[in-house]
Amino acid sequence: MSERAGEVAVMRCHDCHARFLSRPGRCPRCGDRDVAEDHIPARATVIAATELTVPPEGVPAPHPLVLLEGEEGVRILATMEGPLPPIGSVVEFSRIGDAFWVSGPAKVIVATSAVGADR
Amino acid sequence: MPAHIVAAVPGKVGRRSGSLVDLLTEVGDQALEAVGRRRVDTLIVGSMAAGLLGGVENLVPNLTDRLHLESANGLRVEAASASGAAAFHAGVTEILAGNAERVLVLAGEKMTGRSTPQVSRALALSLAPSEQAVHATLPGLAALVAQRYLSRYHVPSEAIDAVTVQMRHSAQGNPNAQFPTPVSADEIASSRPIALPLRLLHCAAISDGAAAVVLERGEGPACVLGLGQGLDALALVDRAELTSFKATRTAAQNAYEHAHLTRKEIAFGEVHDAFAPFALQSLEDLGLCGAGEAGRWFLEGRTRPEGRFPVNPSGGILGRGHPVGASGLLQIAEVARQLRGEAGSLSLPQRPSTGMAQSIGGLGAQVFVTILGNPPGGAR
Repeated sequence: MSERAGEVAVMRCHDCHARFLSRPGRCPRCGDRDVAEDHIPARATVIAATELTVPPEGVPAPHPLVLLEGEEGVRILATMEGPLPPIGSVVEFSRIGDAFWVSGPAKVIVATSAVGADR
Repeated sequence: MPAHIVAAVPGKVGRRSGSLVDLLTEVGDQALEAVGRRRVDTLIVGSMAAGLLGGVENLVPNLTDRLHLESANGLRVEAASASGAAAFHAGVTEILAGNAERVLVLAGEKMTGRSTPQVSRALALSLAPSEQAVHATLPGLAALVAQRYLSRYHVPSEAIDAVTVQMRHSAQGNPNAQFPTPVSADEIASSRPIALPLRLLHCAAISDGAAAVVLERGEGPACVLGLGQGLDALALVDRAELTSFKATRTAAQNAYEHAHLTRKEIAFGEVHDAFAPFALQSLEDLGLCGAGEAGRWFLEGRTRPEGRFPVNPSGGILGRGHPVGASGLLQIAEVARQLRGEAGSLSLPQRPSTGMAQSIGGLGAQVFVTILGNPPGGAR
């Protein structure tokens, strides 16, 4: 799947319009098979963040885990280097292989999109 | 014809010498003695990581050998940290399907033979590939869920500490518990961070242990009244909600319907407190109180043995320990003993006529709910 700069490839369900990260199988919300490639900005809000003091074997401690909520309510679990960003801050992220990484605070946003799920 | 529990043996939990097969044999022997070594038709064994952590596979023949169960059939069941409950559900099905008159259900885990990072890696195999790709662990994801839950419902951190305080207090009366000593809220709040807001004393320990239950066709004080199972998306980010486990809600609804009971008719429960906030969420997801209210229940003492709805009178996972594949069956064994009047120093002030057990697999992708109690007719 192609990824343009500043964007992350996701899947979009034609039936329920959910956007979700690429994964095998059907739409995780409604189970429909009619899904297509789409993109969302590689920018999201930090909704939770923690550091693991006991990561899996071979991973240095402390190991950050950040839960992000992006456009259309797509949620991303990411790791990063350095101190955790504040909850509610907007960050940029990218995909490296199978893993998502927070790269840093988002640059100034010119326009915001209105739609967002409140959970 | 219904199925009922005729023997329930929660084994000693902690750092145990002996192999996984030794631990399972120990409780299996006790259970078989309790039923006079009568013929067992089926053996069901639950364990999550028998190979990776316990160093053994092919559990059924290992056990039919050690327990001298000639001519029994058997199956191994795995459902991550709910393996013990899943094994029980499979055992009940054998009776209800007419395949067996008597079933021995065993569940166990041997974890202390490996280092903590090795155990963490083994447990993380329950997680979604996308979660493993960022080296997530169960405590790490539980911490993120806890942050969302605490924030959404404005639950004070004292409510989470109160869970551990109660569990450790109750565990004092449990001769099989790994942690039969009280801890104060201060000690909990200052214990080592694991993944904030979760600290060491909010999290299940690494434990060895096993449990055994014998099921028979028939009636008694510990009949199987209802079973329920629920599933949700494997990856946390794929779920519709973060602050409630849909799998618990589904499993509970199924179990209540199967039992023809409402939540109000359940006298007490053993819920899956592998992480202290999960106890709060579980009470809510089981429909026992409203969203965000469980913290108040713990802080106000409603969940104590003498309270309105006793929760985990055995000490729960936090007090008893967490041999992961065994915990679901340990819970069921404790509920059965209360119903049968065999709970000894853990006995509730009044002998209950119904009880429930809720077991979470992994991070809540699969949950099992079990309702036990006096037969529907009332007579024993």
